[in-house]
Amino acid sequence: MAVIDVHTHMISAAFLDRAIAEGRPHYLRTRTKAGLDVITYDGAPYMTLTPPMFDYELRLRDMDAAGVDIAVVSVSGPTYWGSPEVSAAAIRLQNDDMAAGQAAHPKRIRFLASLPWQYPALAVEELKRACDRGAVGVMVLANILGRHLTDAEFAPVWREIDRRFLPVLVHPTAPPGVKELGFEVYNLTAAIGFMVDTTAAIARMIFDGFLDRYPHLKIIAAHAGATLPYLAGRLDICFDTMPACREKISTPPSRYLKRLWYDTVTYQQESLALCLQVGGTDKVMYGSDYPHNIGDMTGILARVDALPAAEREAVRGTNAARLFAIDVA
Amino acid sequence: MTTPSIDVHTHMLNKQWFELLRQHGKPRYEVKRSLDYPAPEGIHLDGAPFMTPQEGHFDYEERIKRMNEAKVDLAIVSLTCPNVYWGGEAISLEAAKIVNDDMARAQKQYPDRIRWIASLPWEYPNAAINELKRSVAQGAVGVMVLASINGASLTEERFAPVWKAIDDLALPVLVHPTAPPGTPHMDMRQFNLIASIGFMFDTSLCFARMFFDGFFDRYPNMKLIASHAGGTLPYLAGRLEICFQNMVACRTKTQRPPSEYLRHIYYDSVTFTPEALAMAIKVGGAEHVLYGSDYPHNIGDMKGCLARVDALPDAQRKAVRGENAKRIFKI
Repeated sequence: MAVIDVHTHMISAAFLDRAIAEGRPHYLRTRTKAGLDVITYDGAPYMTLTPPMFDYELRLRDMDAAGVDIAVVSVSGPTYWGSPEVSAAAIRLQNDDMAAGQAAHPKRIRFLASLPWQYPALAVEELKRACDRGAVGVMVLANILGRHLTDAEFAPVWREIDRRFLPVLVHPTAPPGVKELGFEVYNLTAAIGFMVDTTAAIARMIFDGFLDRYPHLKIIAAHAGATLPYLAGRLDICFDTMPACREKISTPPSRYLKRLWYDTVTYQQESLALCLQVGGTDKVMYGSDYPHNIGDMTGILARVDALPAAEREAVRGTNAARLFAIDVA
Repeated sequence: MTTPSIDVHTHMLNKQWFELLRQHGKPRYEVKRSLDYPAPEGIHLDGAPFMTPQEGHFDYEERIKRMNEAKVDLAIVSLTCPNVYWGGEAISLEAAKIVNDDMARAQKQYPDRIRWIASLPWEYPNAAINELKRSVAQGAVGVMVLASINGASLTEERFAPVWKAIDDLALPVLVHPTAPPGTPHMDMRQFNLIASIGFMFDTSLCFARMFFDGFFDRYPNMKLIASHAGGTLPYLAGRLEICFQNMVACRTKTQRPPSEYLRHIYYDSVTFTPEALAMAIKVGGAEHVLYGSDYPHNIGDMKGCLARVDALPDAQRKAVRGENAKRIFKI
């Protein structure tokens, strides 16, 4: 089975330049003592820039070396900034850049559309445009300028995604409260903060009944569900014993966890196994987080290949081919 | 003979403490009507439901009855959040004394069934150290600390004298979560998200910071118990490790990888699936996991948590049921 990577990133240099110009004062670009180019968010390191983020040739060479056949690329970086016009124009440029990557490498590259979610009407427009250009799904950050994905203002975007049966990669960014959380040291945004962001967003979707409102929605919880597989039992007992957790849903959270999709961006065999157990063999898809500094196409694929045969094939590519309707014949 | 079961994560409150909190907890902590039927009142943090006292929190007789039903032999009781970190120095110390004295009394009344761990006014290190000594003299077998103290990290310099005093006494410390810093920004008012998710992050962030900060290298005798089966740490163990390997910022203060610290700390068994418990044991080691129940919180579950421990392979079962707790608390 072909290997399909559903969590792997590219960013257009022009888009990033605009992000840094427009994203002040939250986002800044600095160079560390070790000579690394780093984007910071509210004073805490947010992402380290690496050359393959901008270069499809480099990416394809690394994919060849790792044995990865197809990459479903998405942006990782500051995405929601600027006035409506500036934001929409920049995101068009970013999606067009990925569409060009897909056109140039039709057997190797697919892409997820970025959208100017903070301007919902523009986001719906851009969704249509990006799909016309070949987007196979959508990426959304787990909070939009501190607002929840379940907020009513975003409903028109979700409705359109739902109508189109599109998969959505829910990918973390820095959670609200970076300063209060003291993330400026030890890259704690990456180690812990991103996991907080995804977990909180998806737990909220579950308790809010959000997933019941959009029956066709296919949510991919990034980084092997962040921490959700480990907390599945806790979510259920909260549902069982706390009325506030049953205000909007009547099914235990663990059942919703079976309705989600997951990538394999975790760095321990036991976590991958737990994710498969909680989410289901048909719901976990290979993902690498390449080319971030903790991305690891080879190591993560080795963990997938160490799974029992039936799980291995599903996770390597069968599940992703089905979800994204990718023809891998 | 079955190994006696020792519950290391189980709570008691006290009415006087509760009334003091009602008076002095504002503006952050407010006691008001709770949605969590049948408990009439809940403690709210910045308006968000935060901790709901149950009747069992105040009643030792009831506790012993429940322990008998669940076949729990010994409880090492502790206060819970928001602990005594409110009201200024005099009130914080008064609250600690009320709770510690009450627990010391309970231990005298039920010497075969109750041990306790001390709460301290951490924000006032001198008072905290004095109360630590007083508590130990009264029989405290360990210390409780919340994973963040009104937003401050436990690694902050101002807490160092308290840690030093605890390290000198080689006492185990239950690191118990409260609402994590940033809670108002993350907006966890709805769906009791502080309890389901927030607490888990408070603990995880606290320990991740300690690992990267080299905290354990400074306190050689320190035995910290990460509540709720480590929050989310066991699941994130690989992620912490690759951050350490690939990010310079994670190696500025320590040369030891997170995986070493993860085998150095202790975990309770307050998790609600056998798979999560197995993962905590795998990451921490069977000698480092201790039975805990979170009784009598609304999600506390003496029987269920013990049943999962009893379902473990024999050697692990004995260690987790009580042998590990006996060893580290010197019972």
